[in-house]
Amino acid sequence: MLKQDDYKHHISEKFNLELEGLKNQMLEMGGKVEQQLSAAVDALVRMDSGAAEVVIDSDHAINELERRIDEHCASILALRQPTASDLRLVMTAVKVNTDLERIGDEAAKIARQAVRLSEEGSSPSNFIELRHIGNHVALMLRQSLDALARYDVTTAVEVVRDDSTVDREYGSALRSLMTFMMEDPRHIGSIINEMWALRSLERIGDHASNIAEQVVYLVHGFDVRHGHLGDVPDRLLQQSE
Amino acid sequence: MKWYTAGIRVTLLVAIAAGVGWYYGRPLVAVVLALLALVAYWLLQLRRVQLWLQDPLQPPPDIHGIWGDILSQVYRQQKRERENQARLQSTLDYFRDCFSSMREGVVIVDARGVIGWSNAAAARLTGLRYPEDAGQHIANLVRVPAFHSYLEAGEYDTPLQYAVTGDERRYLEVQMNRFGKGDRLLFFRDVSAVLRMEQIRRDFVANVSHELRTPLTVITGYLGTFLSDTASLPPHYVKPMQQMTQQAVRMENLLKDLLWLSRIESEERQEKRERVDVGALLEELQDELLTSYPEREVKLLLESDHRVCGNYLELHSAVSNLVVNAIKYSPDDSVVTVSWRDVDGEHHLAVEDTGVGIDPVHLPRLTERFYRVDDSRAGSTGGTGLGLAIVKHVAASHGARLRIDSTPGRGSRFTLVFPGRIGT
Repeated sequence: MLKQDDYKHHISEKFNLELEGLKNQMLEMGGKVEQQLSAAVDALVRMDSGAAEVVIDSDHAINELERRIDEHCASILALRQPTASDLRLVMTAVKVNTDLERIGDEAAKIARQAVRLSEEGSSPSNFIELRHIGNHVALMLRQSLDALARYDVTTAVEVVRDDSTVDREYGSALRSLMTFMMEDPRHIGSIINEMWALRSLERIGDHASNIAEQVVYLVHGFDVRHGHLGDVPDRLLQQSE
Repeated sequence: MKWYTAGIRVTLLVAIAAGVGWYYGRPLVAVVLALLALVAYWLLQLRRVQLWLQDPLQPPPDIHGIWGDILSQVYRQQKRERENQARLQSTLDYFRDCFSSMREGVVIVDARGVIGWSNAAAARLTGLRYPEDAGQHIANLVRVPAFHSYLEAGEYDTPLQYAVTGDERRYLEVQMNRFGKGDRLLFFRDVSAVLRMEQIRRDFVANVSHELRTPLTVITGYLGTFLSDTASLPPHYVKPMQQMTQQAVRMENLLKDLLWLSRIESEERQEKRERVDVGALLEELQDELLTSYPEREVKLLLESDHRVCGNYLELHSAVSNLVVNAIKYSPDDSVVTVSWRDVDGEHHLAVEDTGVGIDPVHLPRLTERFYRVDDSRAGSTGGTGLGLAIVKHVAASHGARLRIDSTPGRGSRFTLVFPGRIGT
């Protein structure tokens, strides 16, 4: 099992720093992505196209970070040939990196819908579902990144299990938007935009849960993706501290 | 007991044994027996020492001779150290309690940004847990990009205010202090309420100014109509009405400035920028001043062709406020000098007059709204009291600072110092 300050065990001080730096970079990117997501949802709910443009423009900074982290991972793999938990950290970084970048893309998509919605006028739904799911997904992302920072498997497992809640909420939000469309066809345009944004949020929830699954892999070495959470012995999931 | 006392005793023992042995004709055997007995005796005592060392908190066993002495010395020393340690620990606990009880979140991080300690308020404000999160890089848990760059930049003169990600209504202020070998002490404070009040104040000023304009326009309109036909007015109404018009115009100017100020304040964070040609701006301003102050001379000294990244209208209003002030507060025949030059990699826009100057006691408050050096002048110069507040805000939103040098009786110089940028 991986512990907090496990990266101090190498004889090479530089290798320790590289691994720690990789983790810091990952979480720095996570912070940027978190902000993008909350700014995008906020811009959409307030129908503020100016704020949305800022989100769209900042997406390239995240892409740039993704490239840097990938480069970093490749150089660690090539120069250090890491094994065991070090290897798992690098693998995790590669995967979390992709997930984070995708979340950034989805946030930019939400911002684009915000621009469109601000042009088309408000939606009859008042974005109640969107706000709710947005908050929920943002919380999931925050928890998964916290879990990654703390190697906290308990929280990670919570996030993975939470994803199905988001899926359910997404389904019911779609149904309620559908009734709005049936009531008044004039709103179809704006509601479709809202649906696209919801879809992006649901995808972000999936990515957040992927990150949480990577945390379990990172700490215990169990691959829990695709419903294999049950394969992990309970005692490992309990004791995270 | 000194070591040589023990030595003398051993010598005596050997001597007596040798004496007795010599008497019986076997001196060597007697000496060997005596020494063996001594070794056995000492081993016994060593055993007691060893037993005691397993639980050194007990008082030492009562042993005679040199071993007893050593034991009691060790015991005394240990006791003293334990007391010292307890005293240190209680001081440490006292300081930790002190920090823990603070309303502000307190976090101690080392030179690399790794958390060493944090208090309960920090957990409430930022979600940091102690002791679980000790050893973690702080930017891994407080993942706000603005905080990250603040931490990295190492410029901690002004505190940082940032919105908590995911909760746009919560704002935290963080203040960093260095101590020790690169260690840093961070204070987190919730400033949402303060910022909200500030926002309410701004909105209030903007709304009130806006709402007051319509009635004022009606009043000036009617006054203008009456005064356009002075012949039909009773003669003793003409003067009062003219004064009413004057004051109404002043009020209008005041509202205009207030609205402009609140607009600048609210736009501080927006990024609508262009490259402003300061030389052209100053020349345009000079032309405008020719019409409003035809008798005054404004001299331009353009020694730089640097373009400032910013908002043309805002810069124009700031410089025009400075120049008009200079004109108002200097004698009619004096010259006002406006210069634009590069100084040590910075860009200085200076407005100089040879007027009354400002007493240094007023300088710190000069840019406050409605602050007046001399209340009696308020009416005569016709200013609104908002000019320098506008200048200060424009300077702040352009990354510049306002420097005021003034000697009473000799004149003043107001300088907008724009930072130099690499590559421009």
